[in-house]
Amino acid sequence: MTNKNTTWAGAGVMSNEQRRLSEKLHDNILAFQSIMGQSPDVILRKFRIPGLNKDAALIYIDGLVDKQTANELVLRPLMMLEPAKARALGTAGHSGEDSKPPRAARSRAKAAESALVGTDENNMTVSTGNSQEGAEGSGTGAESAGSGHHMVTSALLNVAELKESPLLDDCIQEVLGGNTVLLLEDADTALIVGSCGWPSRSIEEPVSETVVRGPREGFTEAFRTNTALLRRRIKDPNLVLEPYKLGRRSKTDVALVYIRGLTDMALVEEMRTRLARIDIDDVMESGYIEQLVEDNVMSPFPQLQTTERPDRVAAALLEGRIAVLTDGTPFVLIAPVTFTMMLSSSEDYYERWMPSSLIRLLRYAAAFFALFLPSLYIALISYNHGLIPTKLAISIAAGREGVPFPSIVEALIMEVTLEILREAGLRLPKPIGQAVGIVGGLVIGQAAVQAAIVSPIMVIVVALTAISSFAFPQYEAGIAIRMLRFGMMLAAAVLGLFGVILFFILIMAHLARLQSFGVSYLSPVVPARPSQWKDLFLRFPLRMMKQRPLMNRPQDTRRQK
Amino acid sequence: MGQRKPSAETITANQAAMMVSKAMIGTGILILPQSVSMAVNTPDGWLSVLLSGFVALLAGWIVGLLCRRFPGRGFYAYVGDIIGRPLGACVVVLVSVYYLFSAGYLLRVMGEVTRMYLLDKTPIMVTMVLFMLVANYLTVGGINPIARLIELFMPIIVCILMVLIVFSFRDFELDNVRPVLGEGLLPVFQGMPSSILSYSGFEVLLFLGGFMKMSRKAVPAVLAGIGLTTVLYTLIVLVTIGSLTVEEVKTVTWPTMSVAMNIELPDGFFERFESLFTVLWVLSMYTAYVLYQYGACLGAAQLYGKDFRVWAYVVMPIIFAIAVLPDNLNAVFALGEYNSYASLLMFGLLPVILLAVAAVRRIGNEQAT
Amino acid sequence: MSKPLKYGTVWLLLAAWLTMNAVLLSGCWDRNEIEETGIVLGIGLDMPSDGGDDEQRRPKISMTHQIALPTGFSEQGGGKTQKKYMNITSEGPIIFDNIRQLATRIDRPPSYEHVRVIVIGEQVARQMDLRNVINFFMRNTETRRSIRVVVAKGRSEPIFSQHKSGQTPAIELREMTENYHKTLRTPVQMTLGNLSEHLTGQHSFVLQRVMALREESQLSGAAVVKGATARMVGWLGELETAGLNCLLGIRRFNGVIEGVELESGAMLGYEVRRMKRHIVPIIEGDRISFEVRIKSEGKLREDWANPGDSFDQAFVERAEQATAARIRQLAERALEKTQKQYKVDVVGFGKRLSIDHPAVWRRVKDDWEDRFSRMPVKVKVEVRIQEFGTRGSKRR
Repeated sequence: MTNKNTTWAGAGVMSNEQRRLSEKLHDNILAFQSIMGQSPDVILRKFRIPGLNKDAALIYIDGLVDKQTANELVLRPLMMLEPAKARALGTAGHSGEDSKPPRAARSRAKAAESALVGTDENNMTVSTGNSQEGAEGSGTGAESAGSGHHMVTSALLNVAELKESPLLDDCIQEVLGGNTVLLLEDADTALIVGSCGWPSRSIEEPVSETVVRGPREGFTEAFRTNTALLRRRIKDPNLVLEPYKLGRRSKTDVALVYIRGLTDMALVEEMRTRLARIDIDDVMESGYIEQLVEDNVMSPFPQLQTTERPDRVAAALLEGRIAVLTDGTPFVLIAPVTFTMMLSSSEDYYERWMPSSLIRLLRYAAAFFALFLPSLYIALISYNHGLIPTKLAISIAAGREGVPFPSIVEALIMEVTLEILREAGLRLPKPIGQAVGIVGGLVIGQAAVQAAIVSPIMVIVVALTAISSFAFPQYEAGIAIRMLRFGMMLAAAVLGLFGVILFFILIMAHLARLQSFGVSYLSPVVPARPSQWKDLFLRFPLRMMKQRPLMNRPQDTRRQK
Repeated sequence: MGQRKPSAETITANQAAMMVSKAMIGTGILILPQSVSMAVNTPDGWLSVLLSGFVALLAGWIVGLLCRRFPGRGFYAYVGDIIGRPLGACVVVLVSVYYLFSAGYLLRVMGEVTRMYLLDKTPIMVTMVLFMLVANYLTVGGINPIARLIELFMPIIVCILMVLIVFSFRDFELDNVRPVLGEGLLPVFQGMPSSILSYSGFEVLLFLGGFMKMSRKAVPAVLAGIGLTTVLYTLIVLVTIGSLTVEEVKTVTWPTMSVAMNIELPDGFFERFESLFTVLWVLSMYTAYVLYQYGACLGAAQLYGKDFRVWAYVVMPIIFAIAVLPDNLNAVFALGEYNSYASLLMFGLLPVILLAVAAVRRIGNEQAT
Repeated sequence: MSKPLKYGTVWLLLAAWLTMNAVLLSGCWDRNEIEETGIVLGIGLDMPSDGGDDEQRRPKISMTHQIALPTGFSEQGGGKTQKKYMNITSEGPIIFDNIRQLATRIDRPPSYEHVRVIVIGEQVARQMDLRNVINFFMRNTETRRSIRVVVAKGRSEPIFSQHKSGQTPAIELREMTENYHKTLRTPVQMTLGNLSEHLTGQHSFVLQRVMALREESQLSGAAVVKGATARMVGWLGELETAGLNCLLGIRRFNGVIEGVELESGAMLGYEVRRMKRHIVPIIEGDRISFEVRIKSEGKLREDWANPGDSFDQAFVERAEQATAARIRQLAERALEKTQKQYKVDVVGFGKRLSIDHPAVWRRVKDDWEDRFSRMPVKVKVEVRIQEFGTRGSKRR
């Protein structure tokens, strides 16, 4: 359900004058049909409320609504309404059909309720538009008989999400969002019933981020499910979900999540500014948002983290970072991000500190191999073979005797082949994909050696590199390293070890310049503050990690006593 | 670049200390043992180095005081205030030109060492140009990335040096360093002029000080930086003399490299340590070069306005021209010597004069000094 | 984000263009594929067979390269039948000339990064200034300072054809030089770097000696090189070398001394665990003399005495004395040869004097070796047998 105060990013397409509904049902229906067209999935149900002796119409989009809500909770009570009951409802506790007091009483009650819950935004399943109702109720006796019927009907509808709106565009947006619009004769406001109920994937373990220990829940494509998953982990009323609708035509629901009182508001403000700048037709996936919001487009490194795991998002929020949920994709964005987060997985925190630290060190070693190994091979074989122990050098030379290519060509052939295999493996159905990957690699490697296209040691190097690049918990970082590996191979091919080190310096210089939402990408390694290193290479025991990471500049720094 | 707060380009005291140390270590460490031993002629060269370190500490202290007196402002900014605009401009020109020469010299040495130990047939121009480009990338990033990178690389460089020192203990013979003070203290003092040349570089604090968040920490920072360098230099010279003997040190071109060549792990596991050492040494030369280039750009920017980034590009060909100026290795060493003498003059005397003038004319933040 | 990005893009394009130029136009200059190089494993230096002078009466030197043949090492191509190396001999006025000649004879340019050992022939060592001989290797950045240097009795060429067990001679020789600490009969190994240091400092020193026997090479004995002339002056036999090692007091030795037990005249085998020596210079006015105190600890390994009762303290003491006497004998023999006959100071007396009495050293350091040959040296030995193994006695 949306609030009228929603930021309509890119709302320029819709006309700025908010068209209002008329009191005539027929006019309203025509207006609807002219805008929505005659699509077969737009269901328009005209019916008569016997109790009030009025015509009404129900509009929804088939496939988006939970039919039970529409049928049982809206149509049935209305169509079964007996005139007597209507009068009873209408006259119960108030004078005439104005029904102001009950309405006011109800809205006061509701206002009281909403006060208890705090100024949380409209994603709670409490009837929104209370203030509107109150406002309308107190001043618009002019809505007269129509609104009276309105009130009766709203009393009959046993739905928790109920709203009113006099604006045509609002109603259309709600229908497109999966809600049901109820139009009444002689009423110039429409009742909007929350009835989203489209089929969506059940909660499963995220495929891209598996852990050995930890929750196996992953986000799904349904926005509401995702927010619910987050709420389950942070039951803090200060958890704020700021809604946005991004994309002129797609009007994708997006939520900016942070914890009030903990997150640095400057960070939130920065994200707000950047989100407001987005002016694009559609936001298909959070990747669109990521690419439109990031600091440096030309960098191979990701500046926002994506994850499918709610526990990761929750942990990030509690560290003082912010998250962006996008409807239609299970991938949630987290900002800011630094290089070290690329190599840490949520498992690091669930296991005890010793295995976590060692595994993390292992990951750093794997990162080193994934980046350097092929280039070191090329540099050592072709340029500086004095660095290899003599016996090994001779056996390598023996292995390379029959190979016609220089080492760079050999390396490129193998690496490119492996990358193609990897991509192909992703597209194949699961069981076949695994087998093809492994078997393909082995067989091709072996055959290549025997055909004297590559030397045996090249196969080992490539295999080790490939395995190491799988060790990245964060897929984007893995891709970044894979890309850079090729650059480094070229550098090694031209200038040997000097090329390798120069390229390495280049990458480091780039990382030193790179920032993600104001946080240097190389934090917390530099600037050096040893108290911040408790979660860097080794993961210190949980009891010692008492502070939140300072690089996110949180308002509340103490995490644990 | 997407800062959520207005970017205050500040560096911490730690970073300042490391940058000071880095600017000194640059290339001096490669030839220091030789120049010192030539002057001293006894195995006591390391004592000269140690004593020179103390002198450098003194000079660094003066520079630190000067920085503290003008918090938040770089040297180029306040020198005009102290001695008047025209004279100040002259000083800025001198210092910038000095940095250009330092950068050119460093570039050339890097090229020579690379050519000798890593890439023999590659034209030295290619090596130098590529190096310059990568360095330029960092320079235009501003002081913060430079500081961060130096902070990142410094432990690595110190580590390499420690590995060099520790592993050459196998070859280290105490007898090579004895007799200690066999011929008295005079040779030690004779060695100081050449060793003190290697300590030049701490003056980068002059323009770094302007970026320090807490300028009252300028003095401890520079002292820490120089102190670290002193320790490293002394150990290196000690180990070099100890493993190679004084006579040998006098005859080899790059004694530190020769020590690296001596290192041998059992079973021939790691043979050509000097290649590895050179490769990792490129890190050190890179950061020192970046500092010098940055210093030159800042000076030029101060004089002529415009963003220092423009100057970074302008300055590149000039530095390259300086680098290719010397014809052979001896000319390179001569260039280095002249440069170091210039630095002695400028940064030994100048800060003292400036500080005195500033104190007399009561300019700057009095309480801070 | 305008300004930084713009500069960044400018830089990027500039860098990319320059790099492309550099790479595409000319290519990789230093590329030196490992299978295309000739990995030189050992170098031998000899006087040329025709007497040593060329037309212009310049001395020539002959050089033998031992180059590895990798296919001999690999699983597929190798096996016992294929040779793993080849030897090439060339002659020329300077060493570098020799190397350039190789280019005309083999297809692979030689690479010196893996040289394991340099063998200097006896004639070369005696007649040529060693500083000149090794000058090429010192200037070259490929050759490591850790290459072992030995002197061959006779010519070095045959050494490179001796091998056992399918190894390459050079590698085998290198490994043998490492065995110095298992026996007293060969001196400490000498690396090229140390050699250079000694030559630069004009100290005298000893090198390991290698001899080509019928089937294998033997590494024992020493060659004595005089620092001032940088030439070899003579050999030390195995026992003399043993004595020299005792004088030098190198810690890691594990050699065997055979003593003769005084009472019964039987032989004893004593294994050295530790050998320490102190040199004490004694100054009496103008006369300088030295005293060497050798202390050794070790195990009694073998005895031919009857009953040879090690549990008897008196026996142990006799054994100690016998060993000490033997050590003294060896040391004095070594001193005799080096000090009196060759007139060199290889033990380090001069160095000791310079440390303990720098003023005196300054007076005598010119012509040191000449003066030293006239100075008396006294040797005192102390031996301690720590233990005697699992068998204490033959009969009790």
